[in-house]
Amino acid sequence: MPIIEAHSLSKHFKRFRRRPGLVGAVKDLWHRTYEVVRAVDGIDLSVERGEIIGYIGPNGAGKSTTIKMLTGILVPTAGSLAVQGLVPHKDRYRHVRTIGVVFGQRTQLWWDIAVIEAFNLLQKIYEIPRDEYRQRLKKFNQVLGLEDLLNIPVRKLSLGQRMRCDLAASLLHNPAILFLDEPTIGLDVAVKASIRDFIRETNRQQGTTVILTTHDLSDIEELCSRVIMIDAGKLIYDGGLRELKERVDIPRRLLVETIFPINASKMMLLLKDYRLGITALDPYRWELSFSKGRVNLPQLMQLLLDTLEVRDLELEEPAIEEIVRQIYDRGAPGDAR
Amino acid sequence: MKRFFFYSQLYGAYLANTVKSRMAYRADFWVGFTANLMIQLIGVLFITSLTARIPQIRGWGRHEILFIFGIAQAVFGLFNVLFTNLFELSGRYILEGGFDRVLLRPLGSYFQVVTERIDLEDLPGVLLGLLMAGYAAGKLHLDPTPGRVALVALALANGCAIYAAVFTALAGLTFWFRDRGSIASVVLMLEGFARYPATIFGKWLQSVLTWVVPFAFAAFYPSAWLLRKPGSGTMVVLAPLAALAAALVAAAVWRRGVRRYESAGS
Repeated sequence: MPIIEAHSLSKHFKRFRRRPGLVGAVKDLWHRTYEVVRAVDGIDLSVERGEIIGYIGPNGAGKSTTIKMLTGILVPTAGSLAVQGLVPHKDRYRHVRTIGVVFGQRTQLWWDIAVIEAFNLLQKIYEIPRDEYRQRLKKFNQVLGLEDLLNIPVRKLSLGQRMRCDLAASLLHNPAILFLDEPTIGLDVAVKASIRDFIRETNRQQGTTVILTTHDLSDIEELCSRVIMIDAGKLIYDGGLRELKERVDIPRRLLVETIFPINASKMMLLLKDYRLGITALDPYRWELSFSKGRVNLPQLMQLLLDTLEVRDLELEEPAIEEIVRQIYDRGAPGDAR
Repeated sequence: MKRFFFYSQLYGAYLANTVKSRMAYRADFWVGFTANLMIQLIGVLFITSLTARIPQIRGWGRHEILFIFGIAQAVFGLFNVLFTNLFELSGRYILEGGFDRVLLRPLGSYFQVVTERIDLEDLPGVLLGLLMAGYAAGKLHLDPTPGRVALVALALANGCAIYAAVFTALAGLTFWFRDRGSIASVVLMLEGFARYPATIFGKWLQSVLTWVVPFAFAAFYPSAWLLRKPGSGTMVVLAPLAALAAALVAAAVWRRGVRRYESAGS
């Protein structure tokens, strides 16, 4: 049975449309016009226990709104939602006991008190057995390096320190599902890496289901086996990361560097049987662009190596950003479940 | 019962954290405490010099007015100590999205909002108010019998509940109207009136303070009864009912409001 199941889940907000200028503002006092914003518009989700899911989309696509419905913060406008058999906003107490939530933008801890005091308070709130609590805290301290942070008030932590503490706090009660909304935003590479390792380990050891929204597509590449993409409130892709990369027609680039200069007409003639975009960066360096699957890559490389004195070959893999952009440009690739 | 014990224990833990975090900034705390003490002292100075010049207003003697003022100050002070965070509800919690965090914990949302900040700096108001009432009672030859002391304690609790309910309902309106508590500040003005014998005002203001925003039940009616004013028996019986009615309205506003909560865009 899926751990999260949603059918035509929607959240609409009524937004007041402001008229421009002072005159508009005065008019607005008397008569207001409203518009309905369909932040999330009829999405279907089915998540299995133990999955790590990357939930991506551009700003304002409805990612956070979805997370807020799944965590019980927002009441859906329409559709059905069950998380571990519970309706989050109706069964709030029981539901939130089994989830952990981290918002990258805002801490879940109490601003004014020291980290360890916040942890101790959480132990009481979630009624975590003392031994269990001590063990887990010890482990988190080691893995996330929290020892030096425990006595600092939350408001004095740097972003990276705060993120590590927030992550530890969200897992103290060993939740079945971990929601991470932009967990690596604004963090440096080293902290990002330690946070990813921690998430991966938690998933592996505890079987924690992870739902992750991010703008950093390397988070997705390193953690997620499945990607769900949302745009303007609707799902536009739901499937494997690799399938997504293969399905979308992305230009790949092959950079060729030669020992001797080559003139353009010779290059054109040599490659006339291939459907390539050919650009000379300078007489020694050429950029060949092509669609994945349209060109027999090994054959092309063989030809280049055989006929030219090649100093270097470099293949650029498509960035996920480009895949995302292309899906948006082309609309649904037909896989949105 | 088990739930009650659980929440009491948590309240203690939150309170301990508040004290710790305030004590981490001891200078801040004492500045706040002293400023508060000054404000309350000015109030005392004002009312004592006023009553010194006008020994009687509409049948209320100088010490009777002081007694009512003292009780009212203590009640409002207690409300401020325990429920100060209600004034943050509109801005920090509802409009800025701090309520998200509240909804993610397996605890009552109202309990959390109220408990996350306890304002010990407002304690001087309670102490000064009680001192003033005690002084006035002495002048009026009202001995502190156990019955009277118990009634004052009940009046404090009941009055505190009335203020809490009214300001909860008002702050809760932010769930509907994106307003940073300007209605609450209008009603806050009414609290000033509630420190005087309600009968010195015109009929309409007296009715508003009794039946609409029932602040008169917080200090005035219980005090009038202690001062043995004729006709105050009925009103003192109504006081807990006023608190209950206000609490029911507040609870309804809260429950519906939370369902409407829209969080803040990220």
